[in-house]
Amino acid sequence: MQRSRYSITIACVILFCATTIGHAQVRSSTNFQIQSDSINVGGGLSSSTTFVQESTVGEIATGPSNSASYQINAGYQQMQQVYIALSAATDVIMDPALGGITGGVSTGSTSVVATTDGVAGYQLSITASSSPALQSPTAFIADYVPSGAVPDRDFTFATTDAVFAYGVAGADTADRFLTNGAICGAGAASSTACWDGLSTTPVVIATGGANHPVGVTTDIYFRVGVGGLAAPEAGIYRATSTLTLLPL
Amino acid sequence: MIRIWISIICLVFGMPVTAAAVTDDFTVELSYFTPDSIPPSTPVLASSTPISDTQISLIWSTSTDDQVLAGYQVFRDGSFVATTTLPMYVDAGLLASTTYSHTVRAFDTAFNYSTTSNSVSTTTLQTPVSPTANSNDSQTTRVAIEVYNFDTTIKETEASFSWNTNRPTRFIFRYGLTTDYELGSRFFDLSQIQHSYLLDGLVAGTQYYYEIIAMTAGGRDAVVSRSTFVTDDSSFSDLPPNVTQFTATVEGIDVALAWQVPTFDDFAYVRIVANNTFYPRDPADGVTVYQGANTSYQDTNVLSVDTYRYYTIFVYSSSGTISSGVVAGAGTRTKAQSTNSPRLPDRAREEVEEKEEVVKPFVPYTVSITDLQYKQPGSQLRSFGSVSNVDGSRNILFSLPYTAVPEHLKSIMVTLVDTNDATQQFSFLLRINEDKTAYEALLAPLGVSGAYEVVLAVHDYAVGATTTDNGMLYSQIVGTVAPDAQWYVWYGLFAVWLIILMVIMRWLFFSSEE
Repeated sequence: MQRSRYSITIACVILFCATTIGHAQVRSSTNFQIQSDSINVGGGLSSSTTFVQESTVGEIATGPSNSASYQINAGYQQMQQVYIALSAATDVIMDPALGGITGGVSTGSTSVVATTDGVAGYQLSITASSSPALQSPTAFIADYVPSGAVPDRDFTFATTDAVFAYGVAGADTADRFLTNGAICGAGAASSTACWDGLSTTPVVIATGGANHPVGVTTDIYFRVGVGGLAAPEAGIYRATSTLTLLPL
Repeated sequence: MIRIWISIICLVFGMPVTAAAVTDDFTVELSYFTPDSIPPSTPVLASSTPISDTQISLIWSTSTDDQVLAGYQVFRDGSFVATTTLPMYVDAGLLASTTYSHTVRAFDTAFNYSTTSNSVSTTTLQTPVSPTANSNDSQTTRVAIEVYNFDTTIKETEASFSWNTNRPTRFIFRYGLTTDYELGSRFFDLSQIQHSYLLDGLVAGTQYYYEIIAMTAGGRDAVVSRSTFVTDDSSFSDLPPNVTQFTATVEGIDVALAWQVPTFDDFAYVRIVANNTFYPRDPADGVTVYQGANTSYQDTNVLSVDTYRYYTIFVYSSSGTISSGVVAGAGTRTKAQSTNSPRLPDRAREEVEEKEEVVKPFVPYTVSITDLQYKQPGSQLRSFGSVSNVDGSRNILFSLPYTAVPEHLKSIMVTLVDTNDATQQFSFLLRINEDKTAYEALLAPLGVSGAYEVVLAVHDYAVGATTTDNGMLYSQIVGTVAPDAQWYVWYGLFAVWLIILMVIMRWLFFSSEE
């Protein structure tokens, strides 16, 4: 019987530890991440004939405060609050305007700077608001479809096609946008290689470590190719994209 | 007991600290305009005047277009004669005392054609009777036209011409990107001795062909000037353009060097530097064998058995700037028998193997044709794709970003190989620019429509290795038809088919004999 009690106790302790440990880990979803959580324990009231003690253990309700010169993150685990910032990407006007009887290739680019002091770094992804991404009120230009699982090294399109592609270059560029000169998936970043189509599903375009306060620039390049026989409908085509910077 | 439970609850449901993601939206905008499908208005052929026994002057009303009017086509007796951007034309090369009907039509930049104008018939003048010895005709009718003080001034977008003639003449000015003078002509129907003409609306850095024909009232004519000029592009690049068609040919123990000097205002001279080990990288990297403004030179008594001589020719401007250099070589060594400019990367590799240089620590890198960039006057810097197109009538600036290759000592060379004739090769060096942002070379207009294989080669002296990558370059002169990018595939298939056919026929022939 004594042995059974010990066994039950040990099992409860293990179960308890597993429960608490499992709850105290970092968690994330697509848009949010629990950067850190904590295990709190209750204090309590103790008394004797000569004194009364109210004891507390754990978090104290302090928080950030700042002035023009300082910012203080005071309190238990307050220093684990991550600084993360994303510069505003400028809108892109593709140049030159296309049309006439010959089609052609129009290019454009924008840049963002991702800054974080989180030790685990950051992740930058891009999402299109619509599919296909580039649309006019009455028509669209198809998203570029690479020939394989990774982006195409060269931007190619048939004379009958009109396509919209993007590529990424920067110090923290995701592997799928790197090229070894022949294919994409590994190597070095290039402003002229590794072309993919925008998607309404987020695609990670850059990951990196802590870089505060300088940050790391990621350049996003766009190309529209219109074949001589494609003849898209005339008009202004727009694609709205969302960049999401997530601390890891 | 309650405290214990509170503690457990708090342990299980601790308060998390969350950090939200940061997002930013932006838009990408493309303007796609409507293809022009509306033709210009129909021109009216207002006058048709015979101005000699071989020429008729035509003048018509200007057409209008909803977008951009490109020019006019002139027809003689229903057959196409010429294209011009001006509402006038002098139809030449006609027969005396012969009646011709002319019409014109306009077209826009989308090649929409107007309906044909009214037709006007005109008869050329009679052939002037040659004066006899006792003729009473004025001696001036027999005096040939002589031209004096011909002068030109070329700027970025205009060219001016002036000259004098020994007798009153009218003149026709024609110009174009080819010797067809397809961009237009103008007839000046005022006989005078002092002449001038200002041609504007030109594109910077572009080579134009032109001719000026002077005519007397009696029908005599003479060429005032028939030549080319290249509009200024000083704002395009600080580099002088390289020479073209630089060749080195073995002649016994001599090497015959020939080249064509680029046309630009600041041209001063060329310097040819020779080296027995490799192509000179700069004007001081070897022995200067020639300096001057000629277009050929005989490098005498320089070859013995199994020797090879490397040459680089640099163009100097009057302001002291130096072109990146064009290379060629010739020799008697078995490995490099070609007397024309050889395929550079192969030779460079051979040389490295022979030198057996000490290999130093080296981080391998891959040169990519996509790192190579190019631009022409009036256009932006473009990355070199697997296939790229250029205007063959304009200078081309080749540029390789400084960061694309290792910083240590190297030679960067680009070779253009004519796909129709692989022996027609043209190699030039890229040199670092003043800003140290790129390695650059400026080429004079290619001057022809055609396809070229482009070989980018980086010879690394640290490891004695050459890495290369290839691409295709298509040159097109406006008014000519560019080659189809895949034509060589069809030619190749046709050749294979022909060989198979010959094998089958040969097999059938021998089978029948047996």
